[in-house]
Amino acid sequence: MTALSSQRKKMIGTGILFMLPALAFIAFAIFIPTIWNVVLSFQEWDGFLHREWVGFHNYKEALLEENVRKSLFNSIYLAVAMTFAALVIGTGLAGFIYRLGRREGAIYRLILFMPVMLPVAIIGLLFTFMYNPEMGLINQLLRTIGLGSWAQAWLENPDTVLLSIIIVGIWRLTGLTMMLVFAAMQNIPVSLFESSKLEGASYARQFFSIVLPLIKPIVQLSAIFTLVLAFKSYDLVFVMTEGGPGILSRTIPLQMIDTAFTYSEFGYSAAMGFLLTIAVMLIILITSRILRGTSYEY
Amino acid sequence: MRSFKRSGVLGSMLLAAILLVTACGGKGGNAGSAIPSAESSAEASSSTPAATTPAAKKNIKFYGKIVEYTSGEKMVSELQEQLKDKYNIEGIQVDWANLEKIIKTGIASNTPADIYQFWPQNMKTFADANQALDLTPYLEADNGAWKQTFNPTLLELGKFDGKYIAVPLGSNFSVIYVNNAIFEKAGIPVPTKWTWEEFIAASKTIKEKTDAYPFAIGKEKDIQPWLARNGILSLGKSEGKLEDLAAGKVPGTDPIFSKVLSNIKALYDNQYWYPGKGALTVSRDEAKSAFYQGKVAMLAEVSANAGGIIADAKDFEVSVASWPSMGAENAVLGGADGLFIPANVTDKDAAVEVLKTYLNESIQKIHADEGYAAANVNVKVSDPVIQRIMELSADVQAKEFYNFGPKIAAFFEQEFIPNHVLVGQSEASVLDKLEKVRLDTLNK
Repeated sequence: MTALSSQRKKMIGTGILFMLPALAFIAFAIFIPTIWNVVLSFQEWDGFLHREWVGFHNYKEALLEENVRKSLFNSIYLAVAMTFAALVIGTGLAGFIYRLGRREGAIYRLILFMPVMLPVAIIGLLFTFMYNPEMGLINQLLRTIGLGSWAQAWLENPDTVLLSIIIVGIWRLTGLTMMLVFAAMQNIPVSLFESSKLEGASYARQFFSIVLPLIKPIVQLSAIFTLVLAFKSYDLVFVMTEGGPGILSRTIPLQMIDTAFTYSEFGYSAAMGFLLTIAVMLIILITSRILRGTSYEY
Repeated sequence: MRSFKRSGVLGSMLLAAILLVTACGGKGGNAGSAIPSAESSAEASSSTPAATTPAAKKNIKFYGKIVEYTSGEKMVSELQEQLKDKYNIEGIQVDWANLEKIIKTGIASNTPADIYQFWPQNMKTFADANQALDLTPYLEADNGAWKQTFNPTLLELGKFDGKYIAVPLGSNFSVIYVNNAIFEKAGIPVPTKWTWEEFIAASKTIKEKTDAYPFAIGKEKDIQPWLARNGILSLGKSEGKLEDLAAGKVPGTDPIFSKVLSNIKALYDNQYWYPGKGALTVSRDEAKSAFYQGKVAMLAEVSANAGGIIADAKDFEVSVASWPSMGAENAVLGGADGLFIPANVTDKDAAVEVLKTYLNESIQKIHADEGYAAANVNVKVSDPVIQRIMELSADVQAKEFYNFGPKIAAFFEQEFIPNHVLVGQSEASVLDKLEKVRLDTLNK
């Protein structure tokens, strides 16, 4: 017994040793900055010398300031809209591709997944050119097919700027949800499809009655993953509009950067970051609840 | 087997220890050790001293390589050459869009570059936070030997609360570049100095008689607000309110701001502003491209880019005109490109020596020979275009309302024009918000 527990202790010790480098990295890269950020959010700091505790003053200011509320709304709106649309379209595409032959399916999957692999800055630049009011591909196409009246300054018009960014986000993220859902569908036994087909079920019926319930946990995971990516939209928004025109497409990360590095209000900026964190956690929680599903063994 | 396991455990412990030490180690870059506090005097060398060489070269980070200037690379190369025996100078390209963030990050993290490019007239934010080294003792040493090398007007731009915290590289201000061919086609004489009304009349004629758009300006936050800033300066000068504006004493609801806002809206609504819908989101590069392609008659740009713009406009001649004045008297924003040393620099004396060398006559002659108005008074300019620009610099007003506080600047960059022109907020609403920002800044 003593020999066994000593053996067990050695194993545990070895395991901890192997985990130490990763733990150290996570501690320095994530835990410590997070705790530091929370502490800073209760202080007033100009980034240099002056630092004092101000309690919840920063949070109060953040919730009262119109620009911050607008930025927070934009962040949430962009992320939720992108995620929802990418999830629905991605799941639908996975359903279509599932029916294709092996080779054709592989080609379509590659084409649809490619946007996920592109750097976000490149995507942003690409679509900025496409949205250009004078020379952009979209307006040129509309003019060519006789719909010149629909040509817009997509990134200037207050009614279309956020939607234009959302479309880019959807284009970028759909491939990811498609791939995750497709992979989940691969695990469904073919016998379920065969038996339902014998019962007279069409593919659409099979998809909604068999596939979706079975892959719901993966859809949930995909939604959370996509949500987290969508909230990290700083680079896309910065490249496309820099939060403009004006503050129409400003998101919290951009607001935080201005607050910290232009106004030298690092504590206030940290408070905004923490508010966004709370918002993200709440939305992820709600999403998990909505997409909660039972795991089936088959 | 046991010895293998033991070796494995020891190897893992060693690896973990190495990684932990690396993670806990000093800051990156050329600093050999972490600087404990920002107030500690810069005694340590900025480089890790070589173990065996007695007088090791110090590493200097020079964040002032302006690649947009044809003289930029050459000046930095010459600097590195002149000081090659004493310093390893790393010339870093200036990232204009993120310059302030980069500087403040460097200072806050206690690993600043040794020298930064920044406009002396915009140094208030650094002055208020004591983040810039006081260069006054260095300027006034040896009976002001270094001080006397500078254009006194430009040198004063970097003076805050009686201290010189930045020095000028060369004058730089907003001008209008004119496509002579389009003006000729429209039958309008190329202006030298003109009012806003004359500018609008010319724009109207250009729009009616040619295919070109009259005017283009980039969307960037350091360019587009020129429309408002120059208007405010001109009207402020005409009404004798320049000092009060710079001190933030003029309310945001003053008719000056209202007139500026309505003038800009008219420019946009009449589609004189390239390319009409989408004018507020056209980038600087797109505006320049349109100008070079002959699609735009007038381009708003900095005076320092005169040489480059004239050279790149291959199909037509370019003239330089003053900014159209909204008031009876003209005043334009601008001042100088300049450099400063952060207060928490590792080695102050080394940084000052490098700065002095960069701004000396031999290196600044390179700048002048490439067609730029250098701030060193011992360097002479012979190019007539540059001489013309230097004449226009007489209207430059460096102290303006825009610089009263960072939130005022941010409001002009992000909200003043778009809120009224695009979003459709009323003038009163926009000006009320401006007044609120002014009061917040005043009370801070």
